Amino acid sequence: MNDALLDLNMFEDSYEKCLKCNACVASCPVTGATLDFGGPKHMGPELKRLIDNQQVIDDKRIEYCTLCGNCDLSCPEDVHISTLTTYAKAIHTEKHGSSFRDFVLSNAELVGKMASAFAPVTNTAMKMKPMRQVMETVMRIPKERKFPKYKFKNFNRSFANKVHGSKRKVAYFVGCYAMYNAPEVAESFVKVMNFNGIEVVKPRQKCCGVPMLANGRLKQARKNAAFNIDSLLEYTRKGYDVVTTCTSCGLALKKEYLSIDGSDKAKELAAHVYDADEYLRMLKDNGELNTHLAPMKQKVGYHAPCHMRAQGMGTPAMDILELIPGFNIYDLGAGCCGQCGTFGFKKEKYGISMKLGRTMAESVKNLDADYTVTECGMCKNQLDQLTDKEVRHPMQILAESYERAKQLQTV
Amino acid sequence: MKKALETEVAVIGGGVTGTGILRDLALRGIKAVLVEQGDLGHGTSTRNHGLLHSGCRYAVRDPEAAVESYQENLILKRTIPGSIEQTGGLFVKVPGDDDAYVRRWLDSCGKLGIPVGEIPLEQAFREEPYLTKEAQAVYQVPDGTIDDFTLLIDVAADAVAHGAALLTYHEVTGIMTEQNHVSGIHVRDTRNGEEQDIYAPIVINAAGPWGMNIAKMAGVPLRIINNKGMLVVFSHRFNKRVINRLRMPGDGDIFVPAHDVTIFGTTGKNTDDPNDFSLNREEMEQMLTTGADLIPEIHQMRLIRAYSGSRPLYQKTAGKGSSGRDVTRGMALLDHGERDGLDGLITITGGKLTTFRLMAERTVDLVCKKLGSDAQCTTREAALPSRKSTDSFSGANLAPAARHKLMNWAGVRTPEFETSLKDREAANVVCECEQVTWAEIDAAIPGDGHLDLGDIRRRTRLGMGPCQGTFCNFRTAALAVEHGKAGTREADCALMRGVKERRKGMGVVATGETAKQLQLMQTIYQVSLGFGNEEEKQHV
Amino acid sequence: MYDVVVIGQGLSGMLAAIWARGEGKRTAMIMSGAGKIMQSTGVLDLIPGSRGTLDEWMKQYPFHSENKADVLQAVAKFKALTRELGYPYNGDVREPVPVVTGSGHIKETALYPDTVTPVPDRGHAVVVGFQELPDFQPLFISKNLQKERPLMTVDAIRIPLGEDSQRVLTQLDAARLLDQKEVRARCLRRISGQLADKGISQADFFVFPSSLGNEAWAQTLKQFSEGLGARVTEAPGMPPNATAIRLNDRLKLKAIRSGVRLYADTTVTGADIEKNHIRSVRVRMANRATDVAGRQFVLATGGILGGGLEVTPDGIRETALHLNTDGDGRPMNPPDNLFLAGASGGRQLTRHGIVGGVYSLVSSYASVFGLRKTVAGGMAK
Ligand SMILES: Cc1cc2nc3c(=O)[nH]c(=O)nc-3n(C[C@H](O)[C@H](O)[C@H](O)COP(=O)(O)OP(=O)(O)OC[C@H]3O[C@@H](n4cnc5c(N)ncnc54)[C@H](O)[C@@H]3O)c2cc1C
Ligand SMILES: Cc1cc2nc3c(=O)[nH]c(=O)nc-3n(C[C@H](O)[C@H](O)[C@H](O)COP(=O)(O)OP(=O)(O)OC[C@H]3O[C@@H](n4cnc5c(N)ncnc54)[C@H](O)[C@@H]3O)c2cc1C
Ligand code: SF4
Ligand code: SF4
Repeated sequence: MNDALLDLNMFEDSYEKCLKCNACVASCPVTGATLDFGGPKHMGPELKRLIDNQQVIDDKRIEYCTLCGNCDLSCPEDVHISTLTTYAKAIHTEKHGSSFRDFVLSNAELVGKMASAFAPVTNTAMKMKPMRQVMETVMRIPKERKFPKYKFKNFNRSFANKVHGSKRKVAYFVGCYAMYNAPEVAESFVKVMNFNGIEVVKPRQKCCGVPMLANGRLKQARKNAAFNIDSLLEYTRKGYDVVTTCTSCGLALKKEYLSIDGSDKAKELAAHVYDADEYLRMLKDNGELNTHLAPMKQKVGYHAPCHMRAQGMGTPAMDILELIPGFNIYDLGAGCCGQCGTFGFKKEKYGISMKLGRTMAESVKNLDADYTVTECGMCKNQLDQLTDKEVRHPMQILAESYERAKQLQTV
Repeated sequence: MKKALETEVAVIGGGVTGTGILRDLALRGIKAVLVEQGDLGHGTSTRNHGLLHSGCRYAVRDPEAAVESYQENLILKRTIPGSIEQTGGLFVKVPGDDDAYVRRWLDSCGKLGIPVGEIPLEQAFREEPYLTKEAQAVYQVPDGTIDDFTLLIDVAADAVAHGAALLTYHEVTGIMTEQNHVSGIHVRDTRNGEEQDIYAPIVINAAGPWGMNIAKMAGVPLRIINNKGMLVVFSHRFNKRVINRLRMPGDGDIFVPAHDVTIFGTTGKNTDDPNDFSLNREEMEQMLTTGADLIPEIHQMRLIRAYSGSRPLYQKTAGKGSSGRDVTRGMALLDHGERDGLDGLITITGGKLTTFRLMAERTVDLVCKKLGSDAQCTTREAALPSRKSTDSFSGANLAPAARHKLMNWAGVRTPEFETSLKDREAANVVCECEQVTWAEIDAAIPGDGHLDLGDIRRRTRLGMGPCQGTFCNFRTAALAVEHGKAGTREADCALMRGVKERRKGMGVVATGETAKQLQLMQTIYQVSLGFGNEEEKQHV
Repeated sequence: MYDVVVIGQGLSGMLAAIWARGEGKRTAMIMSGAGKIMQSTGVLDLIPGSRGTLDEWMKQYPFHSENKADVLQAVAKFKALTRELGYPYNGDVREPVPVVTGSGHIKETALYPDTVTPVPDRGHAVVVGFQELPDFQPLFISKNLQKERPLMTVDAIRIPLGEDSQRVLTQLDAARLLDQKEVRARCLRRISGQLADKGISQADFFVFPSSLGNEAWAQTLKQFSEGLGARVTEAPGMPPNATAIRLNDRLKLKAIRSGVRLYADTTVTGADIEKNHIRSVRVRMANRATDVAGRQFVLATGGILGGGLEVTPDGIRETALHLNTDGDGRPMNPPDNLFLAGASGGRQLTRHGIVGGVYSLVSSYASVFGLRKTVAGGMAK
């Protein structure tokens, strides 16, 4: 047995509960879109059972799994299917290495830092046809694919920790997207917290690791997980709640770290992590939420990111936004967007990505709202690609409503 | 007219003992016919633990058996590579186990020359994460595992290749004698009732737990205690090596990894009826409780089925009240000519799977003596082909897991499968748990009007996984009809029989997930597929 | 705080949630995973695995005879809902019909979608299988159907879908392929070719796997029945059946779009019950637990198969709220704001492991709208 692969072994035996009921297979968006994927039941529990304590089996079809987690949502037996497919990915990458492209794509943080430093250049370059042609040929990144913009004034540059001793204290896990691509989301979040009199600090943090997992780089993801766990625990132990504005980061901290890190510390951390909207809903349930929200007469479509649904918390973004007077929000019920993190940036997956996104695009069109709301930056990227509606993060809307309410008051 | 057949030796019993004898006879050029009432391995030979003993288990209590086991262990690893996995084994001492025994055990293993080495606890815990952290000492021994299904098939195939004849689904109904000498056996086809006589000057009773029936037919006294043991199968293989408990052998102290599952056992209760394969929940619970000393998580782990088999233990004096485990597990080779004055009849019984080759050697040595032949035994050296494929089925459109299974399964039949798999449909995986393709199943269906899913299972691993045939049994039966390998009624019957047999083994372990699996199976067959009335109507 | 908290996402849970939401209730649906509807056949039976009339069914389950009107109303409401969802169900619970299954045997069912046609007594049927699909073997099916329908002529043909995959293809995969117009046209051509080759004369009934399109089932049905000039049916059997997946997906989407809040991949592991009144339920996701409060609760966790009941060495246990149950898993003295829908009511309700679709829908209806009369030992409120 290959030793390097043995090191990858995860103490994950939920696969033994699989009844072969096929609910996951019927629910996996990728299985529905292409016959080239092996499906969650086979690539997850079935394969792991055939491998455990025997011989490694490498199946390259695992590249198709987007780690969207819809399989987990459907499995009635609580098999951690996407953790098992993560494992199959790791085996595959370990056997074949990552391509330069996948290495780049999975390094959201490094790329973010560099791209942001040269933001104007990066953004222009990404729009240049010759440049995109080169990227397509060399890196197999399709030239039709839109990319998120990078901001020079990233959140790292603009935010400074301020400690003023509020009752609730938030340690903000920003995530690469809000850090480098959408600092406006991070800034809105801080504003919303401030409107609620809550102090926000930004602990030292690395990429949550989800893009790495998606590209089979389990070891690197583990390192990042260990770093983040230690860094965040320093805060939770001082009474901070960890809050994220990115649903993938949230899922990683709440759930993935339990299986890829597996330590008691991972468990300890998970209990303190909240999605931003979930956090606000909790404040509301406790009667602590500032409800001075200015009316916004708008009709809005909500796209629920897969990794939001996977957190099993209902739909807190809608619960919170519904508090804004006059605000009409409808769940598009569109399922998976098809961008799926780095997946949709790959040339050989682009067709599937587009196919997956079709339902979402159609529901946006049918609803014909003023704009679309979603938490996930990658879902936004796909929405930008496939629809002509503006896409906003719930925090941006809330911040706006709070600000307007404040203006109304002062007027 | 009644069929008749003439041969030199008639072997009764298609277990590992009889099959081993058949091969040995064939290799020595002696004409022989084996008669088995069911499929190969109908008895204990597919109802055991599958442990290739290193001898360590018997080192203290029965040094002779221990040495035999160790020697055979080394021989089988060499000569039957296709059915043996050289996993290695661990002996683990847990709190409460007798220290004095450990000393005696080490001492005896040393004397007998069985290599035993202590390994650091941390290493053991790392390699076997489910092992109890309470373990106090862990020793490494040369245990292995035996796939008794492939073993039987391969040994029998080699015998047939060397000129022997095999009659499965034929029951011996009587022994023919002439004065004080046997002259043959009466045989009945269990599926169509047809009878025939097989004339042979030598008849070997290798009927295992049924041995006494044969003796009775021949009118010779024989006392065999059938000691029934229960085994349970976990849904996945959670250990790399065999895990034994380091104490005087008792119930529930061995975990054997077997392909994709772990098998745990066993118990010992005497039974009068060799056909008694009953399963008892209480007995199992007790066994699991003991097993928890070695694998604490045992109660949380999913069991997919249970089964039982009987050890035929020969009793020299036909005394009553023996508990089974105290009777010798050594082999007994009886020359009924010398013993009871019925020449030509030989009984071979007792022993172990591990020592089957030696039992065959000794038996056939005796046969040779009787026939005045000086042919020497060659099975110490003559190896059966491995089950590994050198070719990778590159022509077939197979997913890696199915390919992997075939590459560890097809062996000498690789070219045959390379050809059949060219047909796109043959490459379809029918049993997903164990990755069995239609090509393998197709090759295992005799097509003689007797479709039996159990027979196919033993040859391919069909339906041995956690879903216990919920999906693949149906597919197989229907595909057999589609491909003209079975009639509809035949397939329907095979299906109902197959489902019933799987249900029996699942029933006793049916809590948690397996209770659900069992219900899922039932719902699919009775409600979705509408077999509901069918079952009552014709087959049960 | 929700008005109604439904636990379980099976047929029962989804119907209860949709209907409660339709009444303007703030509704949550909490589930560890999909319901058994995903493995089911998509047709709704009275007594699973056997025949029986509505009256027999009402006695078995048991309902008060005065509730017949409720039952009929529940069924009407269900049918109206399926029409609204674009996947209409037919049938009359007072007159169950025979349908052919994926093994060729015949079973009785009460409610079935447009893609399923009751099987006639006589005529000429052709069973059509797809080569790539191990779960549906036409020859086996045709022979069994022939046994069940001696007056009928039954033939079998098998065509390739023409799609290659290393995956074991399911009926749902085939349905998704048939969503494409070109694939449908190709199949029709191959069927005609096969019929001609085998010299099979014009048939009036075609039996297909449960694969007649997923999204585009209506087009598939139309194109096939027109193209073949005959009635067409799906014969559901081995899961996943497209017949059932369509209903599941549509109900789920309806719940989401109408504003039911989904707590997915979570498990209810207890409840805060005071004076036999539930205040909130404890919901666990990975390593975190939260409380979800509500006014009313619907326990639609299914039976042993669904996970609401668990067989342990010590007997049957109710998994979600840890209610005391009798030997069959039937909750004893359940909280006053708890309603039991579907198979969660205990093993005495199940036949071959399930309660049957009709009971599911009637009990869901009752959990939202109530019944005229309850009967001792009958369906709890
Ligand atoms: C629970 C258990 C666990 C065990 N574990 C191990 C282990 O881990 N390692 C090991 O080395 N050994 C083990 N053994 C021992 C080993 O399995 C047996 O010693 C061995 O299989 C006996 O084989 P056999 O051929 O003598 O008997 P069987 O396999 O029983 O063969 C006898 C055959 O004779 C046939 N037969 C009977 N009557 C007739 C008739 N009238 N006509 C035709 N055919 C007839 C039967 O159908 C049967 O197939 C175990 C035994 C048990 C019970
Ligand atoms: C193979 C099969 C075939 C069938 N065929 C037919 C048929 O032909 N005709 C027919 O009428 N019916 C059929 N059915 C039955 C039909 O699907 C019924 O709807 C079903 O039996 C009962 O559904 P239910 O909603 O009560 O529960 P289920 O569908 O079992 O749903 C239970 C739900 O509860 C959730 N859950 C359980 N415990 C918890 C917990 N602690 N916390 C949170 N969530 C929990 C589960 O995840 C699931 O979502 C079939 C069922 C199966 C399995
Ligand atoms: S994570 Fe998503 S893509 Fe991967 S198997 Fe599960 S459902 Fe399919
Ligand atoms: S949904 Fe869960 S139990 Fe069903 S096949 Fe998938 S992993 Fe197995």
